[in-house]
Amino acid sequence: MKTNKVFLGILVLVFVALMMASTLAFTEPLKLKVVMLFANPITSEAWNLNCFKGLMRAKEDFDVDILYQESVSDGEFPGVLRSSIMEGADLIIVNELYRTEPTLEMAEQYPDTMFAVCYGTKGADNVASVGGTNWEANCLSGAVAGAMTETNTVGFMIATDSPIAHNYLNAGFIYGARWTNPEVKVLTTYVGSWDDILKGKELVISMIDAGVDIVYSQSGKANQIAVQVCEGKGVWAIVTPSNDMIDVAPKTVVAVSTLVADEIVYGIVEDMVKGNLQGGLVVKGIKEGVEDIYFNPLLIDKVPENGIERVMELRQKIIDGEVTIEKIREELTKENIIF
Amino acid sequence: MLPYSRYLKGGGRKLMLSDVDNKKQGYKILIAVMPFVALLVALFLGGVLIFSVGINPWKAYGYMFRSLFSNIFLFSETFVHFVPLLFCSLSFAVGVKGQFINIGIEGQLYFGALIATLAGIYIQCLPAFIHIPLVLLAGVIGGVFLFGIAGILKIKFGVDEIISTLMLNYLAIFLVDFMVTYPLKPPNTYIPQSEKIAESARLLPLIAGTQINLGLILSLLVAVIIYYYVYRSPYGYQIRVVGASSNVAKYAGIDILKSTISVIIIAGGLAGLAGASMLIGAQHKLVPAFSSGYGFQAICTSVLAKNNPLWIILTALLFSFIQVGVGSMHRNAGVPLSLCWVIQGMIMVMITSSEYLTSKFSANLVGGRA
Amino acid sequence: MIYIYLKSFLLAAINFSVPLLYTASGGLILVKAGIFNVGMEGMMLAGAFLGFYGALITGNPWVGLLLAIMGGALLGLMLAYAAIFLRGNQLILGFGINFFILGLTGFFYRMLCSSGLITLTTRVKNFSPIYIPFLSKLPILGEIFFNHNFLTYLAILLVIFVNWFFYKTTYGLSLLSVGENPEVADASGINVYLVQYMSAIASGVLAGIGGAFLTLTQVTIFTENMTAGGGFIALAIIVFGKFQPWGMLWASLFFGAGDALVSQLQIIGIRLPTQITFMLPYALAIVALAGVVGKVKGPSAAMKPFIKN
Repeated sequence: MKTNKVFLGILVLVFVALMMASTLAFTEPLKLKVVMLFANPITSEAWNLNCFKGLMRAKEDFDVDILYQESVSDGEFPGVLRSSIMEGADLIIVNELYRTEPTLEMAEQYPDTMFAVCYGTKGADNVASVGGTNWEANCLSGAVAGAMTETNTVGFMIATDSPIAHNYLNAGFIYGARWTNPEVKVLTTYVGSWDDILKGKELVISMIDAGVDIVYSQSGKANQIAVQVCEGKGVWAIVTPSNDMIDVAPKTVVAVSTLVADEIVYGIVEDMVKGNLQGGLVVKGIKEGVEDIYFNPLLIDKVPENGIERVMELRQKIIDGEVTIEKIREELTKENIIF
Repeated sequence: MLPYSRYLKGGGRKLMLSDVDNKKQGYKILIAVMPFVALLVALFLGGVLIFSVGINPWKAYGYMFRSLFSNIFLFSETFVHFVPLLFCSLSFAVGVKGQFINIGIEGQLYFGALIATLAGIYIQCLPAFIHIPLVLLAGVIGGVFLFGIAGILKIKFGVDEIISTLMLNYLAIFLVDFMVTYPLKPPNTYIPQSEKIAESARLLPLIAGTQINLGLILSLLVAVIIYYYVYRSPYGYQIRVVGASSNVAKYAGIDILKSTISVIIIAGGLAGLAGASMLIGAQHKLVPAFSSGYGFQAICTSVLAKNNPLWIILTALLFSFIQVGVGSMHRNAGVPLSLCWVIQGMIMVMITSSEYLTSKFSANLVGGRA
Repeated sequence: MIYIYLKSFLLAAINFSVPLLYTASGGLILVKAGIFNVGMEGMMLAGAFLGFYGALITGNPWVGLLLAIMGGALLGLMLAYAAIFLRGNQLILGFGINFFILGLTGFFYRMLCSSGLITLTTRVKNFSPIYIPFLSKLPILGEIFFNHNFLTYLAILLVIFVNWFFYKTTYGLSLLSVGENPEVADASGINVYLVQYMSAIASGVLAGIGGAFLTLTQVTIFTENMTAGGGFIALAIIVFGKFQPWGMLWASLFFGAGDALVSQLQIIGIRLPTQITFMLPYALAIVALAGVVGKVKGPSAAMKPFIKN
């Protein structure tokens, strides 16, 4: 028992000492403080990596204090958010669209702090939700795939099965594929996570064995592997999110569905620094230059001529607002196509 | 204390009885101090690593401690982790006493949260003081159900619970993912989550702006109750005997089946409570993957505390501090998260290795074998 | 068409099972000697990273394999030291190793990325499939079974070897006795500590090979936390296989097939929510456990440190 008493005694001493030591002042920075919270590791799939690059670019260009934390789990998120606010953050960027609602709730309690959610679904006075559309670029990739397939079967590999994957990503892709090729069959598969390159590889192999001759991969790290498999099997590939993906296999990647995630993050910090970051929901798509399709110059002659025309036609319709995601879903449901 | 002159005599002095006594005091103090020393060694090595990436270790650890202790709001972040971790560790400890190595606590947590969500959403119009216990009870039922499957598999089919609980983990987690993506998701929304549970079922913070809620008090109370139940009550004694040796139990006339069922109910229920308390205290709705591995951390905290509920309170607190502190160190001082993992791993290895070293050291002090 | 689906399924099943088989073999050897290796996840991940790194800087996958073997041996040695000499709790040590390696591999991986050694175009050279003179050309069986790299074939030989080792050699029998009753083993002259150290090193080496298999034959890059729970599945495989080498083979194939089934169901076009398909392998495992496997008894002295008198 004496041991226990000594132990508890030391414990209390240590505790009190730590409490007293921690009240020693730290010099508070006078610069604008930006904290970015990632839900996954920074190197997880190109999405997080590009957002991080955007953050670092902003750090170089602007005189702000930039902190970040990665792999914040759902359980810790409210606590981490609150700690960041308590530690004096001026802007907190949340990099996970599923966390829009917890962020909104916290923002209500702390109206003096500015929040931003990447790809958020709702905004508020002090919450700026900025993101892409999640479907426009997919429409264009689908159109390219539909134009290029010779077996009339195209493949689409998505990272995780979620309502957004079905109703935005997949719906957009299927619509685009049918735009250039009304008879096309779309085989959509889900890897199950953002980084499972082993399953991703097997999925692509199986898809190609089953007759797919062009694969659109939107599944994080597995994109790279998907391209390598396509190269090995001699089929085409379309990937996201940035042009340098073409370097993985320059004779295989036909097009890249570009998504400038780093622009989104950079833009948020820039607006904050310039003082014009507005709360509310902002969705940026092809018109705003955030999403687009980029053809690999080496392979552009392999795309059927009227294919490129049709893709550009669709692109213009999207910019003009004639094609919207609601219309897409309506039409696909009318034709009894499951997405 | 011996007079100084005794120590000055040349070599070969006789061992006196008072010598042994004083050395025994030293031995006991050493045991008490060892875990701290182990922690310090791990932190020191961590400091070396932090220094190697160009960050000032003092600053890093300073942020770590500051985020934990400097004000009540930051301090309360620890309790977000502490409450579920405490429940899960208690669950593991009770299971171990009954000779169940339950590594399915994570799954039972999820399943408990699922059933609790159903009770929170589909039962309306109840006053809070009935609804909250009802939701917690639903959580208990969920946890017991899942652990019960493993229990039945062990009793009737002899299936080792290590593997059955591991499998059930995955099942429960995927099931929750499925439920919030399809049945429980409100129509025309695109985020996989359930509706919010009824207002009467939500636990609000006791101190505004913090995470401290009734769940904290409940978990501490439960820890004390479990301690008395397992270590100080006849039922607990029966459980421990059955867990130690079923033959002895048989000879002592203890109903083995009844004891085993009690263990299943208590351990499963505790894990389910962890899930339910997370649900009603934090997000107030069910989302996929909401737990950061408390079921597995619980194994470490419980083993480190030698499965004693009162010590578990301390180890769970320690692990919660480490998790929050390390996150703060990462966020504020820029220590790469990978290094934080390394430091966490080192802390665990050091502390568990220190126990034996302690007894080896003190054996030499007292003379002869310990 | 059915043939195509079957072929993809079986190939994927084999590819998923091999790393599990290596890791589980190592774990089996060690648990039979009395130490429960929960750190297999970390050892496997270390093997994957070291295999990748070795092949990256030298362009030769053999170097990668060697590096993975050495790293695994070192980790096994550390585990043995902490478990035997320091008598740390084996569960906590295992988890500690897992965290430690997760952080260490992530740290070094990012360092490599930021120093430019790893770019989008990085591909490490893999082991190529071996061409067996007559069998590889067989119409159906050839494609599925006889076009693999040497590590896959080695895995089968490994199972045969472990089985022979345990039950037909004196060293193997001494190992088994150490796990069952170390006091008796010690009394009959067996050096218990030596046996445990050697088994731990073997376990680390095999887990390392299992991890290296991933980066040196399956994919050409490394990602953080590549193994994602594979080490824990290996634990399940040991128990599922009733702590026997051949049982372990079937268990590995079972889990590998489960993983492959998840993918193949999507290709066939069965419209199940993916969460349900992911649940299937585990649900099947539980059913199989209840029906087929039944009572499993592990080595009696596993998890308890042996104290020599």
